Amino acid sequence: MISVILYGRNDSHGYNLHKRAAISINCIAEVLSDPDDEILFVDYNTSNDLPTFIEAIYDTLTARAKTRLRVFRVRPQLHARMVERTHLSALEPHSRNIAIRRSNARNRWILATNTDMIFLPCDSVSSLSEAVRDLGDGQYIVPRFELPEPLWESFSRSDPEAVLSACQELGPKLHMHEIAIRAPYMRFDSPGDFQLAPRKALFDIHGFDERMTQGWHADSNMCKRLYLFYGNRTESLAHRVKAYHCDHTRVATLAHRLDIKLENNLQEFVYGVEDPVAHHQAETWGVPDEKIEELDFANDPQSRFVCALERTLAAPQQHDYHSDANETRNFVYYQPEHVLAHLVGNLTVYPPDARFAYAGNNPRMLELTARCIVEMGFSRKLHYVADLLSSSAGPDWAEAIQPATISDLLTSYDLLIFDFGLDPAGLGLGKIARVTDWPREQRYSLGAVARCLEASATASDALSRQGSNRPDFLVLNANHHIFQQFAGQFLISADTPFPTHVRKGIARVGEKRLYGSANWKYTRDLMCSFFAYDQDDHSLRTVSPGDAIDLTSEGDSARYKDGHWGAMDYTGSWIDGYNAAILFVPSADVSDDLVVYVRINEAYFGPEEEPMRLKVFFEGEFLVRWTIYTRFQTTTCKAVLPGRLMASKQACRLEIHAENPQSAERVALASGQKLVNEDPRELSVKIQKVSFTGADRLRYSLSDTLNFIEEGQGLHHINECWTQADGFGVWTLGPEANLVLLLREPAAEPLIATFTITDVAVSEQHPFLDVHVDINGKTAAQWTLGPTRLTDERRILLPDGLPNSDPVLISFHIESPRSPKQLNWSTWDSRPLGFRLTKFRMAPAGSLKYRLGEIIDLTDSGNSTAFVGDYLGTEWALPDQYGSWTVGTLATMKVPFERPPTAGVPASFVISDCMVADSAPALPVRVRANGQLVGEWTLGPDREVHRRSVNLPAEIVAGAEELILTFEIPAPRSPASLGWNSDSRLLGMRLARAVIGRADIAIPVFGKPTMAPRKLITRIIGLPGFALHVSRILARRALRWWQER
Amino acid sequence: MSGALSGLRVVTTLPPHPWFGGIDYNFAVEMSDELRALGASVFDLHVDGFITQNDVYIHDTIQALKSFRPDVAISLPNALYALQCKTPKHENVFKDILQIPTLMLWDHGLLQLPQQILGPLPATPAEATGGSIRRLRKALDHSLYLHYSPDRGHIAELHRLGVINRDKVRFFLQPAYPNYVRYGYRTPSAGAFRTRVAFAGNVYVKGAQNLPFRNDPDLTAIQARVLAAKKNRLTECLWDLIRAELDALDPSVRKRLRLDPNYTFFWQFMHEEIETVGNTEVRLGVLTGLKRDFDFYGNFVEPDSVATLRDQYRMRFRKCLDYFTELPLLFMNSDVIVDIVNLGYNTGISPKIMGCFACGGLVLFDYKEDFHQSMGDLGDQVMYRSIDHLNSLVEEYLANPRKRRDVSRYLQQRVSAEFNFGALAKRILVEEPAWKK
Repeated sequence: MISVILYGRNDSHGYNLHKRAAISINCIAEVLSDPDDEILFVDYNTSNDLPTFIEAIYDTLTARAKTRLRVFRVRPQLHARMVERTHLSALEPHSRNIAIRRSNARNRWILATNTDMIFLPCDSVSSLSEAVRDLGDGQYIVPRFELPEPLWESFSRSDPEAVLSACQELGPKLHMHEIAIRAPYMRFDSPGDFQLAPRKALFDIHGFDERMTQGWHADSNMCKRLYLFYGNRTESLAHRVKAYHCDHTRVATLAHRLDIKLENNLQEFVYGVEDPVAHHQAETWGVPDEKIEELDFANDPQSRFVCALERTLAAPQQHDYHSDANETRNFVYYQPEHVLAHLVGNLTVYPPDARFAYAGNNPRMLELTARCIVEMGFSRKLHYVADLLSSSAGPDWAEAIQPATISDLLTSYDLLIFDFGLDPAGLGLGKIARVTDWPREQRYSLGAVARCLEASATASDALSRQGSNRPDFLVLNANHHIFQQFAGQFLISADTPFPTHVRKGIARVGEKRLYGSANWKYTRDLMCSFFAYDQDDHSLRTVSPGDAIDLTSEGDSARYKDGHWGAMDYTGSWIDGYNAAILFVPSADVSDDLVVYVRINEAYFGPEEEPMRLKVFFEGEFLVRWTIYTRFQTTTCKAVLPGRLMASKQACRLEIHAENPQSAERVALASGQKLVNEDPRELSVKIQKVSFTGADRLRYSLSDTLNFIEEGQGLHHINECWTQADGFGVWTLGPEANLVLLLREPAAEPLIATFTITDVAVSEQHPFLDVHVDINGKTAAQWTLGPTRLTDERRILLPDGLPNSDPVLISFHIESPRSPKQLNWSTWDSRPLGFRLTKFRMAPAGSLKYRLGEIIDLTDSGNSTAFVGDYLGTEWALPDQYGSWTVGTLATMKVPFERPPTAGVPASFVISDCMVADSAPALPVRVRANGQLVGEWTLGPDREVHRRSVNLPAEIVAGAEELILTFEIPAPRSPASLGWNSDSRLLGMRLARAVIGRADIAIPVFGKPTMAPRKLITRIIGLPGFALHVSRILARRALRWWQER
Repeated sequence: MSGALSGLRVVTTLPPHPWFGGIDYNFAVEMSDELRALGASVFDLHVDGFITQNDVYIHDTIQALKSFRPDVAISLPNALYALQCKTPKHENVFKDILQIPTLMLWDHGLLQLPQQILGPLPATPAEATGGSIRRLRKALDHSLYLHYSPDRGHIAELHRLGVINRDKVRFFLQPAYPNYVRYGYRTPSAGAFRTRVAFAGNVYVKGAQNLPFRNDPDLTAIQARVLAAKKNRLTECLWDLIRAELDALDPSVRKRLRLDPNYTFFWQFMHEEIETVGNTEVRLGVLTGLKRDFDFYGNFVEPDSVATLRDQYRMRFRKCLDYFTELPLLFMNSDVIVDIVNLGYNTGISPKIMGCFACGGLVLFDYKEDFHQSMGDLGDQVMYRSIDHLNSLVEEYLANPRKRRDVSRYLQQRVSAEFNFGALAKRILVEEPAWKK
């Protein structure tokens, strides 16, 4: 009999919309009695994210209303196609026409009304259907009686009978009935709230005028046209029906403001209308060819939601699930069975033929989602991006896709589901202490998901500019920590409660796009650190000598990393945990060893300030131990990777094990910081770079001098227990420093190693530093350095059997390293220093045996090392061009004879200086041979170069393999004490030469060779040039003085 | 892409993102994007790899830069960052390797540049070294460096000190950064940070108390006299007041304290006295002189000092605002913003001032000659010369919303059209291309 036409949208329009609409719909249904009667509600332009208005109030509708209701959903996309420009979100003419077109053809009447009306049949009729049954064709209007808000709000929305009774009773009692009339074609005020006309007539005049897109007067226009259609008549139905209107102007909408009245042109659409037929829309009104989505409350996804979940999940939950909103350890995991309801809860707003695609690598979640989508009655299977699902094959419930382009993905689906969760099934992970406990391929698959999301969001911007439809985005497990920030960069989505683990939104497009801010950079770095977000290809790379891996955020290190690598930033990658590995493919053309250098630029010390201890393994074999002593200073560690472990390998694994990583939380608490959340990081070192060289880098040719100043070749040979090189050399750090050499050729004769030491960690309180020197594990020397900090040279005669073809490892064990702070050199520097090495040289020692009569040269270019080497630096000072000073009260010379003397022999010496002055003119010296006194000298008062001799009696030297000569100086003196300079060493005499077996010894010419005398004319010619040279020096000094004055 | 900068190939510097709370990085990214929007081809050079002397990165980046074939470099967001781009061999990427003109946009360069070039500066006079002027001149005075300063006072002072000739430094009024200009075209979120009167900025209460040279009575006395002078002469820049005080010192004291521009401690003293002590004491002095209640936003540098501000200075601290998303809303939704321009500026203004105008806010700040010269007499409507003057301006604008709108709209239009970064980029790259000469 009658089709009641309503429209609206789920937008809380006006005041207390839900209640008045429920009252209205229930009451209208209550007065419909014909089996064909229906209520058509056009849900117009409700946001795609929301259910229709009727779904939102469905629970408050009566059974009777539900049986009468038909709901048509006009989505925003159709609205955009139908209407070009309007300020309105819901358009009355279009909505009503869509309903009229799709109304029950068996019904004679159409009643256009609104969701705030209550119709009360008068005494003579029992229902609205009865009221219209015998009416003649025509347009019928009834007057509208206003119900104030407190009145209708006191009604029970689910009890229409009571509402109708109340209207009947209270209407007169409360003096509600005032009839407001209008122009004849309208009859009464607000005719649109009850506008009854034959369905056929509405078809004949082509429905409401769809040009009316500016609001208001659609009812007046229809009144006028039907008035004209029916021969200038509009009827009243007031005698059969009373119409009550639930007032709702407590909140003024834009439509109800008096100061701004946006409305359709009355002259054009009402006063000037002369033709009832809307010829301009004869074929198009009510979009007849458009398939309008009609809700099925018995079988729609919304209605099947609970049932579908039950069927999908099958077994009920056996115990509570637990999660942590501050989770930063295992933040890639969520409970799929719990999340499913929240995920598919977002799908119910889509039409049954909606297209969904899944981008993720969580087989369990995919399976559940795919199954549930089918159970919910969606007509299309869930699609999944096959390339992103690496953990297992996809389920039968879903269909694999391989979109050729991102654009294909965007244009083919209504919703893209991005999953930032992983499935632990079958991985045997045990307790997860940090996210890097997950296998790297699993983690890196999330980087691919992230890249897909970014590409989709970026492409959405292009689609947006073209005006094309864009899919919605739904992200799983992006409610906290890194993924929350990541998703926020590309999506506009609500910050949903953590336990839902689901956020739905749209891509940021146009002005809503965010630039790459510092916050984004931070998030991006973390995404790269853990998920290889920046790298598509994770295949292992071949490494050759000369290659380097940049472990900062500027590099592409993800493909090399495995295990406990933590956060990465522009300074490097932390090792966060116990075992971080570098994976690589050894180059096929490398058959020799490789040397790997690891540049560490920060170490994380605990409150105890213990050095960080690392162990290095290669292919499971222990290689070396590294100890890092400084927090912020760059340290380069080195390991030799044996070629035998790389031969024919497709992949090699270099592991760094942290023995004592420090809890970031513990360190923070110890330093008085307040922590809001748990900080699970266990940090050890931050690595900037790993570089590979051939073993050639460590090769050493005898007699070469290695330099340890900046960029010196010597730096390749030292281990990590040295400071950074500066212009003077490198300091030992901690108790164990070493250097390693690979000899280019085996030495055929004994070698002397010479170390130039330019400073020592000593002070007045700590005047000496003991150093134990090992070569390849054998003790080679015991040094006592100090008390002066002057340049010193120490020589070691290498033990028998050294060197050989193996690496030469020279280790320095410093008994008690001292910090500059401890020595009062600095107020802050707590590095444990030993000595500063500047140069090293290893050269043939020559013959180690003494042939009688040979000269022993104690100058810096001499050959004395074999005889005084063990005592150099302790009993003998560093040689200079004039010889070597005795240091302290005893200086020893050890002379092994090639052929022992057969009788007594003389011994002669050239003494180039001695510690005498006017204040101390004599220096007594006793000379002993193999412990027997053989001479007593008094040196001074002259300091001239002179000879001294002793006789070595036969009972001392005859047949002896070795002669030990000692010079005892009971009263050594320092140059400082004699006022010569600041040198505080206690010196005795300076010995330039010695000979055994001969009484004569020549006094050498010391120093540089003298130049040939220049002729006078040459000198005169050179004068101007000399003057210029001097003036330049003076000018430079003056300029400098001027600038620095 | 077509635009005013079409065809130009520009290298820009991007600072390390954690520095200064990410603000410099964000500014640089925005400015770089603005150059792209104007049609330039832009190479973003991340400075962080140079800071850490990441040789792999430096090597690869230099190769990429050579392939890019840049016409010109711009140090963003300010000149400090171009100076950081050095190889392990101490070669500057722009002037020594690429050998391209480099536009050096200073911020408050008079204090920042010496700190960067001479740093780390000594904490006490005893640790001072000489030769500062020569080192500054050597670092800055290069034919490929084209300097731009937002402060005529700085230009004059560095000329006077013999660091760089005034003819080699061009003036620009500090521009509004792109984000603030964009906000000017938006409808403000209703009610977000809605205030009547507000201040947004930093004070360093603890920092000012904990200076390492605090214990020297001579230095403390200088500080006290300078602050007293500033209180009486609010419009005079702190630099000049300190210099005058130092000039009046007994030469032996000055020598002992190394308060000579040629010594590094001079620059440390000036920096700390102006940036830390000055910005704290002068700002607190002005703010406590305000008769109107106001809201205090910011102080991200010293969040721990909030209690002191509240208890000792009776200030209503609200919160620390995000410089890019929240501060514009405060500017847009406040009737009056009160500011004391960073005391590092002598005659110029900070970007915050122009940012406020660009997004439609109204900020009242202490008199700055450069702003007056660029904006004309109307500029005087937003600059105060004393605390009493500030109070009267605040009352005037609160009582007369139409005047507030008229002035802010005029200044917003001027800033959006003439004094934003895009306009500056067009000027220095195309309209007055000193780098081509």
